[in-house]
Amino acid sequence: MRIVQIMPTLAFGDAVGNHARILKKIIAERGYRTQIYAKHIDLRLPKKTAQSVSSLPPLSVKDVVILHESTYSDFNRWIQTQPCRKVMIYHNITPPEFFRYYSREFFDACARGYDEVGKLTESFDMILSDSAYNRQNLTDMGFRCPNHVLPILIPFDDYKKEPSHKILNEYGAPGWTNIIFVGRVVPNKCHEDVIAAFHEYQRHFNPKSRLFLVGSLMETYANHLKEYAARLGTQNVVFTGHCPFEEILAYYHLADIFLCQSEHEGFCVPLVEAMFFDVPIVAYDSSAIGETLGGGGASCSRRKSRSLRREPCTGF
Amino acid sequence: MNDIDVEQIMSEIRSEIKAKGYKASDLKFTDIAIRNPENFDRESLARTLSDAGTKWQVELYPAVSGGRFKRLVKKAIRKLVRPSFYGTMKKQESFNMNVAATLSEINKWMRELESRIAELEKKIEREEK
Repeated sequence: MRIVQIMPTLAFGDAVGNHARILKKIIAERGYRTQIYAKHIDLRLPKKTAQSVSSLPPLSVKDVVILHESTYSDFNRWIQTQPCRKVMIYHNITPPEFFRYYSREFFDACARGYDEVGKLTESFDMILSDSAYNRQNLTDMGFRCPNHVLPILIPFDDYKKEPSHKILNEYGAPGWTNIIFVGRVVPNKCHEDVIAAFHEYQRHFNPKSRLFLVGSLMETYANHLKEYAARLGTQNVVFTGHCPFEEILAYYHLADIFLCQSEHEGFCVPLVEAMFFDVPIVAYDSSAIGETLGGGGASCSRRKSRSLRREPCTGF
Repeated sequence: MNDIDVEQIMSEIRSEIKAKGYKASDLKFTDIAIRNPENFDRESLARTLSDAGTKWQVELYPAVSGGRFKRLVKKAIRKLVRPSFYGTMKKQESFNMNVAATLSEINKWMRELESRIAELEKKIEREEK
């Protein structure tokens, strides 16, 4: 019996990729033959971490395939033709509405992803959801097979590595209050609310404060945010863009507070990372955030602005 | 580990905000236009329409390249085959012209609708006041 994991992209340092790698290790330690197959494999990953999906041998009824579901992929159709036992790990799909004004590509991928997942209600023998929120999403879609919560597996030893001295030297001067949020700069994470809150804090309480928005940028959204911060007159908002892992560690070391206003998370790994670094957390209690936080920070259940519900200005 | 009473801290912050009369900024994120290259671009439409309006004709005899002899042969060949593609070329030209004219009309219609919408919006605004 083989246990294979299938995913569209195995990225370096990404939460889903780390989850798959740890799971592979656990499965192998239990004595099963196992491998990860992906369409795209990040070249920075150690060799033999995964294989191209084109080299996947035919599966038999005795095998188990684990499909990681987080966006649209061709594997949704492929899996229905396989004779083996099937497990889905559901990482959740971002509602496409968030991307409507920023990226047609993301909007389409998420819309198609939702559509395809909705057609898989009878296709799996078991589901592992990252959170109870994800599990409920699938129940609402009509999935009735056994569905268990398996939180994202995080390689905590990696966080004990040395942080980037370049970043620590650049921003480590005493006297500053550093607020951070870590996560891709995409609309569902509502960075605008982080900026708005930071703006008021800086304006009324502490001019010697900085906001680090750590994560790769969706250009259209990031430009919108930058213009917003500029027009508000907010100082010291740093968009790091994609940065190496040791730099992310450095930002956590510098942080005085982790501020999360995300409106849609299937789990939210950065909350756990902030807990690991003992950074106090203030978060908006949406989607899976409350259960990931589990009382490990302050959460608020209401706020004034909601990006999804208000149509932004799209003219010039 | 220290016990922190978040509610108490928040209540102190709220009192301070009230006492000092702090007000949140009026500028909303949604007030700022999204500059998405995938969104409608009037400049680009104007350029493309202008191109289509001037380049709908199909050139029957484009300049030939090569030496004197080569040019002579090429010219002779195209004169010989002219009857077989002339009709197709004319049909293509007529189609191009219709498409360019239609797009131009649609553009005019869009502008007309735009100004009518703007008028109606102003009217609604006036009536709401």
